Amino acid sequence: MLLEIHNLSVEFESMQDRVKALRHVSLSIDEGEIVGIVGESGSGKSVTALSILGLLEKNAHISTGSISYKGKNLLSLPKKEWQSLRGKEIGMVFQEPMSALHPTMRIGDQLAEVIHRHRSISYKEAYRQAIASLAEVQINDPELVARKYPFELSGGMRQRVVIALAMSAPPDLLIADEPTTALDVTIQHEVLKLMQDLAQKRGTSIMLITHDLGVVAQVCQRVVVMYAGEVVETGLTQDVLQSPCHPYTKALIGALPDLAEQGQPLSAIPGESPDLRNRPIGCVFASRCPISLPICQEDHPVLEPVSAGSLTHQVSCWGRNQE
Amino acid sequence: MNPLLAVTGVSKEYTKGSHRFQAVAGVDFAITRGETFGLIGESGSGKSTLGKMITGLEHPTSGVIQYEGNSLWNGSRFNRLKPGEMQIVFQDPQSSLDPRMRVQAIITEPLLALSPTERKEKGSKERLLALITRVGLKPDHLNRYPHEFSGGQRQRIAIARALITDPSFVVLDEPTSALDVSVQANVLNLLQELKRERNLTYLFISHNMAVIRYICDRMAVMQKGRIVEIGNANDIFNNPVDSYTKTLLSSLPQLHGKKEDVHV
Amino acid sequence: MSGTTLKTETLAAARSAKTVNPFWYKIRRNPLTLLGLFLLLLILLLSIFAPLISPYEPTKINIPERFASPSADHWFGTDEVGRDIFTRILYGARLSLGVGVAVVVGAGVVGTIIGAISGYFGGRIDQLIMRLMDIILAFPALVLAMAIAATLGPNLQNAMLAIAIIKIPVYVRLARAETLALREKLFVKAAVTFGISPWRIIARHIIPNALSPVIIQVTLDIGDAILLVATLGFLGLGAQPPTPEWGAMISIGWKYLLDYWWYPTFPGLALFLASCGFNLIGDGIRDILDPKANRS
Repeated sequence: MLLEIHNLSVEFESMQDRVKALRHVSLSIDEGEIVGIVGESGSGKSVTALSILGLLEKNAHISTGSISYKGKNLLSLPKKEWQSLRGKEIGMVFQEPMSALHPTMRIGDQLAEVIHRHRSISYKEAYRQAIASLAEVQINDPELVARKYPFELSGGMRQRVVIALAMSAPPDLLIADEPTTALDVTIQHEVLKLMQDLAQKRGTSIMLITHDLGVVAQVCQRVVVMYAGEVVETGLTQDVLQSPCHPYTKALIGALPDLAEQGQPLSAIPGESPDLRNRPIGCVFASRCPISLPICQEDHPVLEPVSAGSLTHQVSCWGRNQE
Repeated sequence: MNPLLAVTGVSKEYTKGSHRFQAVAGVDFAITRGETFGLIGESGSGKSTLGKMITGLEHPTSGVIQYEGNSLWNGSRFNRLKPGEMQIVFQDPQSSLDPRMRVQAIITEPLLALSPTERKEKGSKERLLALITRVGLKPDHLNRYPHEFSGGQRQRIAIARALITDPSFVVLDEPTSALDVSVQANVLNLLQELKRERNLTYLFISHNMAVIRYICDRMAVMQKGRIVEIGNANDIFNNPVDSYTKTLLSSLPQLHGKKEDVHV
Repeated sequence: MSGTTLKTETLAAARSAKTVNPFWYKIRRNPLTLLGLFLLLLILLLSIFAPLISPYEPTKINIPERFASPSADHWFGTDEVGRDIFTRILYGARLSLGVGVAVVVGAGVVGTIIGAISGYFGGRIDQLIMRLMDIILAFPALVLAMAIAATLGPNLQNAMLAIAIIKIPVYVRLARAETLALREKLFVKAAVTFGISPWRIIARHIIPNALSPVIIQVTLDIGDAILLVATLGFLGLGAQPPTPEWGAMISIGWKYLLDYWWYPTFPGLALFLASCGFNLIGDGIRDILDPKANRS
């Protein structure tokens, strides 16, 4: 297993209270897999990514759990080792390409600098390879683009550059947090496909964080559904999307206009997301759940297989056997 | 039937020094009373600019925009024939509400443009309370500030604000693009219900194909300032004619593979 | 959505934690700001309770006790007509504080309104106003203030007016810059679509939201204004005797620096501490309300 997160809980401390952002999150990513982490705001998907990267804010406190990467527990690594891991073995792509690119440095130089750092070659050679990477991310006329500055490029091109940067080592794991959300739909489709192809070519695993189930359907083999800092369902994409088990997953799919009939109201989830400062004792979704049972208020469910026949499809729900 | 809104030959050109940029080029369409008309396009398509011209924020360089047969623009002057008749809900619930105003003041602001008699009649406390309850807010929310609310709630405030003057026509500029999927569902449901209850006509601007297909009766696809395809929403989805429309549709992630693959 | 969710969670938690006021918390952490706060409180209290603290009249002439050196009876000594200097400093504090605040707040209010109008309407009005401000700014502040005060006649009110005038352009520029940004905000555009008149929009939306940097600038400027008023007083263009204004006192007193050192020294010290105090507070407030952290 390339990456294994086990029982991870993260809290944020502010002046007055503690926000319990993640609770007992467990998930794993194998070599060559593309796994989608799906959730809405407050689901904790970004916090999970930042935990792996060691980029949590100073007021973050990991209260339980472990993150093991290739067998090493990342949480017990000294800062320097973590830093060398980042970029070299674990690459990252975020939503806003402009914040990842140096605004006053030419594209070619930015790429060359990173390549030069990761591979022991001369700068000249690194620049040549930088041009080659630009071509690989399907940028036409890479030499010309290499001489440009980030502000001269379109959003889609910038994101391709960021992907090239992230894949330059090349890393074994690429973490992409909403990489296509800020892009136009047509570009989104191409960029996702690009990531998928590159990953297949290099054997890189991808942890794709998104709120868009459509994106998951397009490129992810497995999906992890998160709600309020917990994993509520996980499994193969087709299993989870076609036979969702957790009421939240069902509601999420039902809320999508993509599959709805005109004139029929969309499935709406009553209530509001829970206050993460005071997590309920029982199931975190209980207050908004249509099939809430008495046990849901008192005891917290754990991730277990949906049925004996499909061990990969797991759900954290007391009502799981009520199908 | 006479269209409620008629856009004829409308263009918008921006000039910066010697540089000319055509945001909208020769657009024609009409919206009939009671329908939901969708305007879809990606960035740079001109759909937002068109929305701004209809609501009085930007004046067209050429062409005519008519509401109930009356031209809305006189050169660069906007003729607001009946204040409060046309309202708008913006995309960003964060910056569309003044952070220093309380919710009650925010919602009742459009009433300031009405005549004193109308203002009194439409601004009554009972009407206000009924309105906010209808959109899913509570009376004690009136005294709070925008930052105390979630995105979905702020959008409800924006919707209440748009409805306080009893408009007939509402322009919705990406009203759910900044919201989570489940929150979007709530807001879309609310918009549908309100439309039926109050006999509203909607102009729904979005880049989200799935939403437009779900909520619109007719739609226009925009690319680089022009309308490339226009017609019944379902027809366009099932049988797109224009190549750009086809590209747009094929980029839509297929969730179940139920829809037939659209080939470019 | 990803990076911002983190922030909204922690920000929302921090905002609702109003009971532990971050404002005071930050002030407590900065020793210089505390010093400034202390100085100002001291001066404020002294000026408020002046009649209770000192038994003397600030303008009462007492020739037999003229030029008395600091003693138990006269803590800061007396001046050339026997008036108690300590008392005059206390009453002068009232004047300086009052004048400083009035001048800067006045300039701030007028400047903000002009700046908002200029920024919102743009075009010719904007050009006209900005060129007018440029004219004012082209002159060295003190020279212009002197010219205005001298033209209008040397008294305290005219000195205040002169200083307010030279301070206005800064506020016009500040307010205009804020207005240019605010104009593009959706809530302003929304108000336009409702059909609300531009004047109402400026009053309801622009000015209230443009106040933040203006308030910071006001606190920073008060110290400077106090010095300017004193300078004009020193030059005889401001408060006239027998008004116990610090600058006027130094104006007469500096001649006696070698023989009766206490005469100009104590008013000078008071002036120094007052403007220092305001500057320290101003810096502290600027750090706390740092615009970079506060743009929301």
